[in-house]
Amino acid sequence: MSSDANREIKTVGIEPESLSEEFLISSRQFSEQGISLSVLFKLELDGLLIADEKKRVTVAFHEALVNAHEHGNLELKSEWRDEPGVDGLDLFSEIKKRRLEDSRYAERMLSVKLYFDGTFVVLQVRDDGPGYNPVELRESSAGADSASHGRGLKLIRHFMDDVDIREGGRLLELRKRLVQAL
Amino acid sequence: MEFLTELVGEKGVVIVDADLDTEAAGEALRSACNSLRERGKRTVVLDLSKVQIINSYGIGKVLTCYKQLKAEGGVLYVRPLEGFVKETFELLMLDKLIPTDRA
Repeated sequence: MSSDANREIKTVGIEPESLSEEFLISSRQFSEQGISLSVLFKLELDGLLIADEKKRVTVAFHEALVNAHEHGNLELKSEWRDEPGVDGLDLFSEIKKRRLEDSRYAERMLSVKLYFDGTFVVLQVRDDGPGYNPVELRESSAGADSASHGRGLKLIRHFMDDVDIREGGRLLELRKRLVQAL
Repeated sequence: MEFLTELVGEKGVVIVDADLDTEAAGEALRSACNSLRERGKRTVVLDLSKVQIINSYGIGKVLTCYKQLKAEGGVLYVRPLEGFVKETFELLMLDKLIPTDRA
């Protein structure tokens, strides 16, 4: 994910126990600029998030953000990846392009909060989409190894310690323990 | 972003020299696979030796390559499967779908 302008960032404190940042970004901005999760970088510098664990957290957080953006705000369906669109694109890519040009979808916001509470690194992502039924999604993606849906959530659930889906699927909270209890 | 390709006998090899964690990287992979298929290659190997991270952007395009080749009677291989990429492939059972090229 790249650095970007036009975002609200709050970084609180300089001690690992109070690291926090928040973003409010439209899906259009997210698509054009991405988000730089500097809390993860700071945790890496502090030796709390290293090597493959850093990769797992980075991937899980990325999947959560992209899910909120693509399936939440842009209301794109994963099964469209398996269907042909126009100009050599799959249907998912074709509709994604159109919706990013449509302010009814593109101006929907992503509210992102990332913080370390001294034990867990926590990501909260809220989208402005219509929500979904997590049970239905889990059932539809079961066993679909080569199908195009459900992989993001599978990665998230495997790499995180806690995954909480609230507000009808519009709020996702991921937690990963970085400091073991004594 | 562009990935180089090599022709090694009957195989076409995509040299993936970046992490497969962005849309651009996924597109570069899809484009490279398409290029090999257009040159008549039906055995394609993805050289992932320089890939440290793969996420759904990259996985999606790997699967697109796999499905397109399979539809044409071809085969997709990866090499090598190591570290985090191996962990991700095994988690999603992609290692059951896409064999490792031992050559």
